[in-house]
Amino acid sequence: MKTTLPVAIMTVIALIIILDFFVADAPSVQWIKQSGLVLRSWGIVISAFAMGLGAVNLLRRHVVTISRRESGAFYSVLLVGSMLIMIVVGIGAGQDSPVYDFLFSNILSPASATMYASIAFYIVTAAYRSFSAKSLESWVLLLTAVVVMLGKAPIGAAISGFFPVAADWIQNIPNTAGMRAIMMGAALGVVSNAVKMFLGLDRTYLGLRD
Amino acid sequence: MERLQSIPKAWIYVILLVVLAGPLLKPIGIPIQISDEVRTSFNAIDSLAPGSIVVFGFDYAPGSAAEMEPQALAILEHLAEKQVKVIGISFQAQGPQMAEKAFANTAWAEKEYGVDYINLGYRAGGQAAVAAFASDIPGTFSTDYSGKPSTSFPIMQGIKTAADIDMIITIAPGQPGPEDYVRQVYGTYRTRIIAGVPAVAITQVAPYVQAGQIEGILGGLPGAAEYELLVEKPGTAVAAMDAQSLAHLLIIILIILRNIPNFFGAKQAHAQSVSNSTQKGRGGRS
Repeated sequence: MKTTLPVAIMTVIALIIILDFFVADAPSVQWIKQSGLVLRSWGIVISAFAMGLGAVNLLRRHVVTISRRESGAFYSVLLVGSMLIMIVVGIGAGQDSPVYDFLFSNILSPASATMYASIAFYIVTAAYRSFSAKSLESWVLLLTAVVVMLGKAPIGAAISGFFPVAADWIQNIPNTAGMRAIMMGAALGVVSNAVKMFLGLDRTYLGLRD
Repeated sequence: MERLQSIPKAWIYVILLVVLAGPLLKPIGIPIQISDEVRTSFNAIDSLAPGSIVVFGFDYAPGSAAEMEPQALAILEHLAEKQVKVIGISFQAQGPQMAEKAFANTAWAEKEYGVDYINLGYRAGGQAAVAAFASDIPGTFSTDYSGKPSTSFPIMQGIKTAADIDMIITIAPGQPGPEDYVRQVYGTYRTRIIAGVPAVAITQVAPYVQAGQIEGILGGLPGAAEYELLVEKPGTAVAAMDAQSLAHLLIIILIILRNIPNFFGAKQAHAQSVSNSTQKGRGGRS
């Protein structure tokens, strides 16, 4: 019962969502449409709660770090302080208030953009260190990367019309073919996993090993 | 020769900084070619009749704004020119603020909120939220960003499901993104989709484009730059193209430097093995 009931609930809900995708708008199947609508709304509510739960968990973890004065406690103070300020301002003054807008535009946005931009420096050094061709395969990979990099920036076309054409071909033919194969494989995997879950063969999502 | 394989990190950082900052301060003006996928996206949006309803997914955050925001701004300028109506939504927590900023920095600032455009804010739930949106737009986005009932705005009158929408444009660097709109919206409602993605995600979205499920894509900053040129409003993306070109060139030069010793090392090893086998051959005969 401890496992049968959750499996039964999950199977019924999943079947309603799947059927909702395929059934037409006929009045006789409106209950499926309506049930699907309600279940999706529940999904949104659960996701919102999950976000709140995540925030509480993050707060708890970092408060422990601060109280125990563990290494990196300073960063935890920054995180907890920033989080509380945004929560208080967001709930108190509202998301469209000038204070919230100021914090978002002048602290969060530049800080996030800086983090993202700094990746460029790591990419360049990583490319320099890791692109060491020592076999035929690695030379092929290297040349492909060079052609795509040149073809996807204006300078490639400025050097030769070959680069954009070759880059598009690499992207649209071999690359997309590989990606399509991965996607179809993953989709088949998802379907088979879903069937296993419906049949109660896969119960790992309940915290059970078999 | 071995020095080429161990250029200090700090030097590379400084060179990259110069390569990026130089063209931003003094543009070179490398010509930008319009790619087929961007032209297809432009033509699809250009085909919209005045008054058409477009849902604009601001599914990006400040972190990726450098790459994604120019795409959003260029497309929004085009939509304003086409006099369509835009419903801004987001499945990314910081998306609504990005929408506010984008509307304020384009021709939409002069249009009437609630009549010509609206910002419906954020809904949690990822793909499940996209599915809920497709089947019940006013139910999923019951209020706008400021908390007023969404159905109280003229733009939302008659909008119930994704079937009532003429086009969805999503600017998304990750999940939920174009794939989720294809699965949950196009699969059932056949709504036209245009996607703006980072350059690294083009491959991921390409199968959907080739299948016709996504009508057009803009890839990264080059996609934004090309679109800016098509709408004749060059902006930050066009300005950044020289810097990106030179950065790509720098990476290629560094990779070549790194591999020069490998190349000559392999040649030497090959020559050595040929000479060894020749010597062995002679030894065998003698």
